[in-house]
Order: sequence, then C-alpha cells, then structure tokens
Amino acid sequence: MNFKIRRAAKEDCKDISRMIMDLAIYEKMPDQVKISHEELERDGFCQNPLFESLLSKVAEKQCVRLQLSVLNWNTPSRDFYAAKGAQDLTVTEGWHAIRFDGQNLDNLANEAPKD
Amino acid sequence: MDFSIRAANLDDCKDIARMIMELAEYEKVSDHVKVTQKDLEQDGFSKNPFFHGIIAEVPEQHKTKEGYTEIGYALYFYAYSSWSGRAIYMEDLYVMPEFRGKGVGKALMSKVAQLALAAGCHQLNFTVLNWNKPSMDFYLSQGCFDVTGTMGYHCMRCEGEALEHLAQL
Repeated sequence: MNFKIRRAAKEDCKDISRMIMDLAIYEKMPDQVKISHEELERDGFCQNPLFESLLSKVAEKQCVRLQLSVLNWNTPSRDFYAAKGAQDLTVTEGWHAIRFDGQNLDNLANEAPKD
Repeated sequence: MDFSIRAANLDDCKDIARMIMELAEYEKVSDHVKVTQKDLEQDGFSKNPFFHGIIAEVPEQHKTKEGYTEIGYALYFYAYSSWSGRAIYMEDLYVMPEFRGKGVGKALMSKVAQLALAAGCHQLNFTVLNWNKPSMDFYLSQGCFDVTGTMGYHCMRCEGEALEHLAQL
C-alpha cells in the first residue's frame, strides 16, 4: 500500500480533529474530547507552537526519550510499542500518571502565594 | 517559616542540578541522572526553552549548614492534550528534607497551577512512584486523581538504541 508521511499543516486540523475523535472512540472515552480543530489551529500553528507532529523531530532536536501512554487493556497497541523497544515504566518502575484538572486545578492555583 | 517562590534564572542552574541529584537519590535512581548544569543552562534559558523552573528560597538566617538558601524547586514545561488542549507537565517537585512539612511543596505546586491557568492550560500532569506514599498521599489530599489507577493508562518510554532504531525506520 502506497503511503507517505509529512509534516502537518494548519489545513490538516479538521482531519486531525476527526481522527482524534476516532482514537478517543477506540479508547472508549469520546466524551473526554473537549477541543475542536480551532484550538489545534491556534495552538499548533501560531508563533510558538505547543506541539510538533513528526517523529523525525526527535532526532533533529537531539532528544533522548520518546514518551507516551497506553491503556492497559489495549493489547494490540501495547504489543506494537513493546515490539518497537518501548519499556512500560508503570510495570517496571511503578510510575503512576497523576492529574489536576477542572475545579481541583482552580482550587490549587488559588492557593498559590501572592507575588 | 519564611520562604519565597520565584522564577528560576540562569544562575540557579547549579543549585537546580544539585537538587535534581538529591531528588534522584530519594527516588533511588541517582545513576540515571545524565543532565549537567550546562545542559540545564542551554535547555532552560535559550530562545526556545525546553523547560521552565521555579525556586523556593529562604532568607540567609535559615540557610542550610552548607550555606544553601535555595531549598526547593519545580521544573515544568508546556504540553498538549488532544482531548482538552493546553496542558502543563510538572517534571520535578522537590523540597530539601529539613524544609518539608512547612508548606513549601504546596506553594511550589500551587504556583505551577497558577502559571498553568495563566497560560490557558486545562490540566497539570506529573508522575509519582507507586511506593512513594508520603508524596502520593500529599498529592491526593490536594485534589488530584491517579490517571494510572483510575483510567488504566501506563507510562511508556522509548530511549537509547530503541529510540535511534525507531527514528531510522
């Protein structure tokens, strides 16, 4: 099958947004998707983009790690990542991902010392 | 106890490097630390920094026996959630042992949360080791949730030869 890999452009955001939803449906959490193509355009393609979208950027920027997360029941993906040489740090070292969001994030921020 | 929280600057990299090593010793992984003071200077204080830092400092009269007034830090960088948008990732949070239990860790973490909201972020993410009960209890008491425990996400990493090999494909 013929395919190519290229850097994403601003015009791709509608398709990226569609595929983000496809992925969220696969991960059984479609209700968690809160952003649309507009946020992707603003955050990915402005002056100081918050994200970049090519693996080659890892080598170019001399990064030493590629990190990602995968759902524990997602065996096909876990097997794929393991086959590519990724280690599961949650299993081998006991790392847990922790998050503050919503009201809890607001509450935490409100307790910051005043400058 | 009197302390202040401020943004890190280039001159703080020596103390940050020192405290990174102290944190790694606490986490029992000091042989994993490869980053040097020079790396921190280049990566944190260039035109497009890879991370930002905040420092907790005490006045001279409370300095450690070695003479340190910089007694805690947090490192963070901006990240992205394809579901929620802008996010902040807190890479390190550390307070020197003799200054714990006085609100310094809470102040550092709250400051990162405040910076997150100011930048339009909807999430503050970080990781903690499952055996690190004091830290886990502290974080949960502040209102976070365990993404690994409740949603089943595992943290994966590709590095070294595996990463180089992946980049060649």
